Amino acid sequence: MKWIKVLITAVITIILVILLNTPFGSIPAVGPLFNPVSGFWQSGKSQQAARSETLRHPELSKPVVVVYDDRLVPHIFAENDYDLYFAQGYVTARDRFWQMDFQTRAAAGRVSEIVGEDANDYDLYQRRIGMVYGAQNMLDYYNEHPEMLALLEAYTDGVNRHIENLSPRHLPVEYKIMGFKPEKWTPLKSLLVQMNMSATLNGRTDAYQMSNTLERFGDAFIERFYPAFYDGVVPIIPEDTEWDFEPVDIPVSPNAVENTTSSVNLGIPESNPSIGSNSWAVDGSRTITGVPLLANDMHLSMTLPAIWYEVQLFNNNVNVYGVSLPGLPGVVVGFNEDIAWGFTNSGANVMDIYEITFKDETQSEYYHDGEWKPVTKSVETILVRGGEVIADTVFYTHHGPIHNRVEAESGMGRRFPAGHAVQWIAHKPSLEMKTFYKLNRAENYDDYYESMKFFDGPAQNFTYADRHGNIALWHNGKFPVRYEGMGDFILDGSKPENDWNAFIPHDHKPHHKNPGRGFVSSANQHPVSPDYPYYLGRFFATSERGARINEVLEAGEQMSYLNMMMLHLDNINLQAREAIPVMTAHLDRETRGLHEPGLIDRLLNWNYSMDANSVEATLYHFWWNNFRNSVWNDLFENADTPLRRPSDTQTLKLLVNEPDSEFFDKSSVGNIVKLPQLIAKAWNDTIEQLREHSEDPNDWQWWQFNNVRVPHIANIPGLGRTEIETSGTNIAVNATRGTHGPSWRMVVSLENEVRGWGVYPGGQSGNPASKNYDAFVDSWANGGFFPLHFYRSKEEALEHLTRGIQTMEVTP
Amino acid sequence: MKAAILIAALGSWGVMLFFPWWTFVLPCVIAGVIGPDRGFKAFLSGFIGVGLLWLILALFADWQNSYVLTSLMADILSFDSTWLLYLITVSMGAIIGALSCLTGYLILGRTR
Repeated sequence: MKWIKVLITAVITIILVILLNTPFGSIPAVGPLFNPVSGFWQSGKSQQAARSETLRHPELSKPVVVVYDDRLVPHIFAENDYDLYFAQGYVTARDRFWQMDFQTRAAAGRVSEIVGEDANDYDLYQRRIGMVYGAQNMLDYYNEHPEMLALLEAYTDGVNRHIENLSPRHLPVEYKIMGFKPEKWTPLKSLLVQMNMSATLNGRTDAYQMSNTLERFGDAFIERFYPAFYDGVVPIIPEDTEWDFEPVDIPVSPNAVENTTSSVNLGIPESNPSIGSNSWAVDGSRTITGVPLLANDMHLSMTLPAIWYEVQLFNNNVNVYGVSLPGLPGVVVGFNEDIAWGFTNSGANVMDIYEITFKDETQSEYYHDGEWKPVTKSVETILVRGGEVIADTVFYTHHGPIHNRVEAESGMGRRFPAGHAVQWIAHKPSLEMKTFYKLNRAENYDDYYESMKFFDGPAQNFTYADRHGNIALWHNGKFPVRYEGMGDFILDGSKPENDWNAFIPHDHKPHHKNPGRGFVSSANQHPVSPDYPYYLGRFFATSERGARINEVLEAGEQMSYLNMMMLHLDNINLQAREAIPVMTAHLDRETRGLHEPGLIDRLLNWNYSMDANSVEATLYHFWWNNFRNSVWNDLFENADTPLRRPSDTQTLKLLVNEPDSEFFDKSSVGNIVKLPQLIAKAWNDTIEQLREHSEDPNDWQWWQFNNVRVPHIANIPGLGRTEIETSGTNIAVNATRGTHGPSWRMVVSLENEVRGWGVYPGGQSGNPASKNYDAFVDSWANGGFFPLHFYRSKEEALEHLTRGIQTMEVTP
Repeated sequence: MKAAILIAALGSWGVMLFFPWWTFVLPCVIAGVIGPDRGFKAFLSGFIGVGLLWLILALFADWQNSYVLTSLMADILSFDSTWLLYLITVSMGAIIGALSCLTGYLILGRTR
């Protein structure tokens, strides 16, 4: 009897413990998460103020002093490179390690290990697109350059020192919610961070959509609506620039493009026009101080924790301030005592797709340059939480990996048809770390010029300004020498002319220094005019942002850093400025008066600024989209293959220049529908849509439709920020749209004592329970900038700390 | 009973600092073996000992963090109030503590 009782209570207890210790699907185990000793309760953080600390670890040759300012930016003072990058790894990991760990596992296609089979599709995609392959190729190359590998190793040592100090009880809360444990850092993981950046910035191609569009509508349509150059293109390097070099031999196009994908219905997402950036530098002749100003904002996915981490790095050979990528040593965008630099992304073709001819079903040999060549095979092993291990064999040609050997039925695999190889610049060995190492230490134009030679990708416009009065811009990266149009469509993988046989020599890349107009600028638009001898691609960003920046800078005299900030926050929509007078002119009196008679007048009197509380911005946005869709939907909707629609820029040109175009004629028997009818219907639809939102037009404020938000990086609800009331639109300089936007706004004045201002939509701490987790989001949304504390010595930083560091926000 | 409560509370805290969360079952069993003279007292000792300890630890952690993390957790779990978090935590500790303590008591079988 006694033992039965014991057995019953014991069994109930054990069952209860087991149940509470088991996760159910995506619901984490209750016991580990909720107990107050090692559960989420212990992942909080006491709120921190400005402070200093001295790092003394056995790896360090001398103690490293870190001064945290009131925004929790670490100012690291070390004696040598090893100590500096060790300390950078250590403090970055302390604030952001969960983010680094999770992002690099995601990059490597290892999410299934954490969340189970739901992530198999994502993991397979990452493996087959060659994320680890590219990182490993780079690591092999770093092994040949020990001085650069040493930086990665120092950083790695610092990160791992932090991990060793981590108490399992106090792990970041995301580990507890998602139920996994920290993993040691390696140099390969740093390179996976770089692969992530490459994938974000140029890991895509429009070749399928373009090949399908070509097959469906023909050459004339392509030439008309998808030109590389057209009236109104404002190239980054002005048209009057002369090219003083003899171009290398350009390959000859093998023959017309053969499209073979027309039967394939792929799930390719439309390319994201919001990935872009602005950067410009103004010559001293246009500034109030007489010295250059440089500005940069990179438009990327906005997340919490943020993609950027602010830091100052100081030792015997460097003093640099700016933003770093958690996981990579050095500063990516910033300034030092002599120079400042910024980046915008390049739309040049650096990912090509090849159709492969296989000898037989085994796909073990493929045809190239008149002979059969063997594929190489690599087995990818995917561990699955609560499931069986997946072994996936990826076949490689000399072009690159074959994403799908058989047609994918669903999921991300549908982005690539079967039997196509991907050649991507990110797969090639390269040494970008050397660029950042040298750029962080650059003292003048020559240093900047030298640093760029090591940068293969992701291709960027490098904006430059220095204390000696120079400004410059290089369109930099590794660009294959292409025949015109090469890579815009799917390439025949058997023809050697389609290989990347040669690259544009460094000095032939588009660039200019101290141009006569007194400024350099880029906003991802076409880098050059048609007389540039090499072909780079045709899908650069449309010119609205670039044209607006140039318009403001050309009109500017005696500009100050406040003017730069105002330009960052400029919401003028050039497309609206051109379209509204034309669209309203086509609107007949009857339609104008049909709804709220004042609305059209408001649009006509509008300043074209996409302000948060603007009703006109909302009206225009919906009106334009409805109109554009009514022009193209009948041709492009319900297509069984992915196509690329003509850009808004081309649609607007058609509207302005060819109002009688056949593309506006949607008439059917007994029913005449032409441009005026399309515009009227688009207007009526707009009013109806917005009335569904609210009857009162004053409620149609733009910010509610622009829907700017900053989600958590793993999309854990409650850990992100939503309903952010801010201005902008993707084609305004202030390019906010949904979860994309200016991820770091920076202005630098190259005075003798360089001054900088910056802000990003996030916070230094990755801990959701810290006030520093999202501390900058509101300032960012309101257009505020923080003066950046750039110290000339450890003593200056410590002295400022004793006086009390208080950063006063600047709002232009 | 006071001794049992104390052993359950301090014992669980001690082991949980170094071992997985569920190991607090063991000190509770021990508390049941050596402490109370009635079954319901044993049950109550574990319930109060662990429940109270967990409540205090949770409150302290919450206070230290200025109550930020609990409100975030409530958001993540779509709870209306952070008290639900306390309820889950405390009842989990209290019930398992009580059952373990009772089991310990029953092992010795000091029934009348």
